Amino acid sequence: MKKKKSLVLIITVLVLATLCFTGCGNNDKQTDSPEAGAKKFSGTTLNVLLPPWYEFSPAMLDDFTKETGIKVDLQIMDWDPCLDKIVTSNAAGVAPADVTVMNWDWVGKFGAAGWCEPLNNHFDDDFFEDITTRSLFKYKDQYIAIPIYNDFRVTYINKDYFKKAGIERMPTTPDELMQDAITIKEKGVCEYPLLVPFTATGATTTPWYLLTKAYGGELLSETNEPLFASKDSAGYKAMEFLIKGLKDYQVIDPASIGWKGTDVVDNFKAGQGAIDIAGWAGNVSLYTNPKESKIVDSVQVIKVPGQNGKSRTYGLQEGLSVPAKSKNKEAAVEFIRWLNTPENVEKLFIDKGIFPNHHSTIVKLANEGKLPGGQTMVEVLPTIESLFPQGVPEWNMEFETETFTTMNQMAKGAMTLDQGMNHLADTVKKLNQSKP
Amino acid sequence: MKINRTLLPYILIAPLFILLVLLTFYPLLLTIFNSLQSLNLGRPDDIRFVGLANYIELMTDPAVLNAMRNSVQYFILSVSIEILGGIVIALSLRNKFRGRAIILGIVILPWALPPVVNSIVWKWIYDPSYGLLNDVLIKLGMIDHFHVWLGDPHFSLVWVALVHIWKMMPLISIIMLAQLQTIPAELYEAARIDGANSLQSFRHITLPLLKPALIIALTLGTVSAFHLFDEVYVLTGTSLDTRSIMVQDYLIAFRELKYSMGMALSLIITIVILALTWFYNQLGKEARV
Repeated sequence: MKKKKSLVLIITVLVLATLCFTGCGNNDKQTDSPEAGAKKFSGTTLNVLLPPWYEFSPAMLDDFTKETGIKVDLQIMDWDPCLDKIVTSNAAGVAPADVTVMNWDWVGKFGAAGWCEPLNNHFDDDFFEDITTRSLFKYKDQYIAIPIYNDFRVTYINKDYFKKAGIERMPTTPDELMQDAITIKEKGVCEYPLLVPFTATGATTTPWYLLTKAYGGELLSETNEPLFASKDSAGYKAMEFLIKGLKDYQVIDPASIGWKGTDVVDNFKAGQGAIDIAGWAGNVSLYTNPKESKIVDSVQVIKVPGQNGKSRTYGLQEGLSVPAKSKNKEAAVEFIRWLNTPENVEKLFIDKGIFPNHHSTIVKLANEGKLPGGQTMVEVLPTIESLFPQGVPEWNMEFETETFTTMNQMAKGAMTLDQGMNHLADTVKKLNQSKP
Repeated sequence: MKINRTLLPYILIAPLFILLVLLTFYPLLLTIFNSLQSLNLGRPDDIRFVGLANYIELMTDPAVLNAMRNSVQYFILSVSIEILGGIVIALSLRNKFRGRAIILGIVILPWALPPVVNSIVWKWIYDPSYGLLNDVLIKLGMIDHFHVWLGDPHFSLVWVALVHIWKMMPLISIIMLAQLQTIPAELYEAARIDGANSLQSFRHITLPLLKPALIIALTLGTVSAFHLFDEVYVLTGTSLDTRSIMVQDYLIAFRELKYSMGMALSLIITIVILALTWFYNQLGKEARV
């Protein structure tokens, strides 16, 4: 009898203990808030490597340090050098930082190379559920980055320049847009109304990709064959728009041959241009910020003018990843979690123009009237497409490099439009052939 | 304890030898081995022996051939101007004069600057909207509108090369100057007594006795011209008309993630540099004979 009692007692204790530990385990994953992990990593210094639009204010980072005891050493680099550092460090088996930026089209290569810490176990399902763009950062059922910037493109207009040139309505097609730019130039309102980069770096590709969608087409077919070689294709018309804008109509500054994406933003907000055709969605808050911009009252966001008035755009989401070789993975996760709290997501949008991925935040901002150009943004959001509906080709990084190099050559006059487009089409064919 | 005299030299060079094996020979052998594989981080599961396939593909790739052509142009432009300019600067600084030390310090400054800093400074100078070069030339009446210097496909390579020359010429000048100062003044004295003019003295005394420094300068100039990366990358990115072979190698290895091919190209560059260095050494030997 005594033995039986002891056995029952032991089993009861074991069951309770198991339940208790299981509960604790679940709790760990479900509600691991910054407060819960507070001071757990106190004294850790976190290296964070990000491009310029993530230059968080020291006050914001101090708040994080106060909450968690973790110091943040924020390293800001331009987009291409950032990619260079991430790739070269990872390739050498060294963490480039504890937290790095991750672009939507790097996922395949970085995932295959095993450079990123899978983040599924660090965040609960509810967290991912609220992030509409989460699937873009999934590699083989593992989230290798947490979306941070819900980047998609809209067109920004300096309506004062339009009015001065006698243009009352906003352009709804690419041809109207070009005609407006020509009018603004001819009327002497602005020498180079259309702002586009042409340097041999990544940002140069975006206006072409976007205009290809705007002209109603795609870059590649279902089987990744080039769709832009023929003269009646959307891709060809899009490139013709850009090259003619630079060479024939001269509505694009020849200095753009040396411009990066951020140069376009700097020029537009300084009032040195009338149209930012492929503007970052988040820049709406930057252009309307009196501390940053000279065009606060004259900027207007419109949908990207499209063929027959049908606007299209695509997403260029960015995320935050933790390199597999980082020695501070847990602290890095704490930082990402902290950035994703609703108040910080909102703050990042209002202060830095980092457009949120969290559905709940977008709805809240729109309802509270904190989303400048709100109606346009709300209309555009459900229409954001993938650049490659058929899936990102594994050779996309090579294609992108070849694209901006070729566009740079065409802008300089070292290649004609036809030569450039044929070269790009040949490049895609070769890349397809090089598949294993 | 007395160390065997025949053993001592080996003991003394052992640390250096071990370092060389670890840091030079082992990585070199590994690079040669990997260049014959299909190591591609985009396809980590597909690693196999491919023999000379990477080398053959590189030698027929138009982008590689274009970059190699650009690098040869950088080499010819920069080495010739650096050597000529270096000799002129060294000759001007050869004799002692008031303020010589300050001028020497200023001359060496560009070489002391990190190449990326150097390139950023020059990017501002070349800037088409607010650059110093456009401003100065307009004020001098030499141009009537601002030029996009780095946007000209025919001359952008020259502008990039000039930045590299600006950095390297001080070093070449100092090497030449050091050698010039070893030439005994009596030789020039004797030549003058024999009726030789300055040009004859330069041709028959200075130039032959400068040859050891010339070989060193040629080698350094060649290595740095073929290793040109920072200036090109900062000033013009991956632009085709200025892309050097090192930038091409970087793109293959770190953008396309084709490691084996990147290693193969780095070995080709090494062979080219070694061949040129051997040629200079032969020239030096002939001069000594």
